[in-house]
Amino acid sequence: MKKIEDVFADYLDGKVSEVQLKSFFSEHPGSQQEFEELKQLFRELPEADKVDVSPATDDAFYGFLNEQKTKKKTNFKIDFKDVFKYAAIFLAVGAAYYFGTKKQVETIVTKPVYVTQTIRDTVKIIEKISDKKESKNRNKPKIQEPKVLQELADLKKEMIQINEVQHKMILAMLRQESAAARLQAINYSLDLDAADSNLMNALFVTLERDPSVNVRLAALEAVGRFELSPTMREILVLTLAEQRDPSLQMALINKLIELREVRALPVFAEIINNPNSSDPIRSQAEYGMKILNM
Amino acid sequence: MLDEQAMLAVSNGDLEKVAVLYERYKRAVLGYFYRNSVRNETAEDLTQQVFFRLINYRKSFGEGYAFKPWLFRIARNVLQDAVKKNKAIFTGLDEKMDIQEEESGYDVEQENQLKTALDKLPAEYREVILLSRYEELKYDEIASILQISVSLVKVRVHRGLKILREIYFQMG
Repeated sequence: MKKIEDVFADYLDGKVSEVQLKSFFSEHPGSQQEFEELKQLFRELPEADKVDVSPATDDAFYGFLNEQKTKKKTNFKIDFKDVFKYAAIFLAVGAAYYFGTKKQVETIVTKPVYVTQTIRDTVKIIEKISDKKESKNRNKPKIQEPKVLQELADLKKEMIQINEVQHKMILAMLRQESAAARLQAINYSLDLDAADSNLMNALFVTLERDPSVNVRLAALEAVGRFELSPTMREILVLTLAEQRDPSLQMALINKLIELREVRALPVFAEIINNPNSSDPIRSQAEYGMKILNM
Repeated sequence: MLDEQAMLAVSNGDLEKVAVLYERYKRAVLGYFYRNSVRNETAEDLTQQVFFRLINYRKSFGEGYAFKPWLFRIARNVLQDAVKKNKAIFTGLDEKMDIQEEESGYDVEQENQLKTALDKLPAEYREVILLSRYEELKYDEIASILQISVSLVKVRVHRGLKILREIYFQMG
């Protein structure tokens, strides 16, 4: 038989239904009052204060990280016993790769040009749609509002202005040279409820071209938080067709499966048939094919 | 990319992914130390130490591990080590109240009383309530961090809240 502490803890964890709760109270008369009081107290516990680390802590962390990366590179020890063995293996694998994939490289070369052009076009479409919406709103007649409504409208205006400043700040940070600053910019974008076309454009460009894989991954996470139009989803498909980094390929495949984006099927098929695809990527693409074909 | 995928990549030598995890969790880790009443500047130092340890012990993270409880286990160990070295890392209640009084909003007094009551709660109860309420960890995850059974976690949540209620009403 369940004790009150189990029922209470499971209830907070969302594992107890109201029906189960009622049946527990009927079997344990007198426990309901204590239960309700503790539930109330748990809910009244103050919200977590918003905290952020200082720039000094960020600097210390990234400094330490860079140190570790350099250490890793310089810690390389040469074992001459194995040199000849590895050289022979390397030559054999290299030769096999060269002769095995010579033809396919030629077919892939034309692809990035098509994808980049398509992305530019689709981004232009996004901007046009958003401009149309804005001009429609501009043409609407202004209505005289009572004082309270006017105050609310002013407040809304201020919020829009703050939002615009946030957008501008994020856009400026995305242009920074430092990858840490660009990552920070993307993190700020996670706090926004909606992104305008400029920001979406910048996030997609970051996802497509940023030199750091981490920044590209973070951009994908940020983009995925907003409601994506069919055009934007198509950009994700095209980006997957162009990406060669396995972690980004994996993240894009997962996102497209989550979005149930059937236009990704040909790209999944291409990944499966590409002998250069790694096994985990190929098997995830196969999984995607199964799910999207259901 | 899931936290676990990123950490497995780090564990396999891809240190670039640490930055993703740091950016995702630095505030949560700092908040953990603040909520455990660690002084501001020390909380920042301890947050750094958590991520330094994450890098140094990256190879101990394996397939099938859940990242968040693993990270908070490191945070807890860092806190315990810091307390062993120097017991004066915690804020006094007065100092904490000063910070809180600067905040304004609904039911500030009640909020402050509840925070004070939480500070007075015995550590073993406070710990489970903080991990459950603020870090949003599940009971099995809390059990793995504290290395106790899930049923003991449940008992501590329940008893902890009962004690908290008593402390709170005594204050009122």
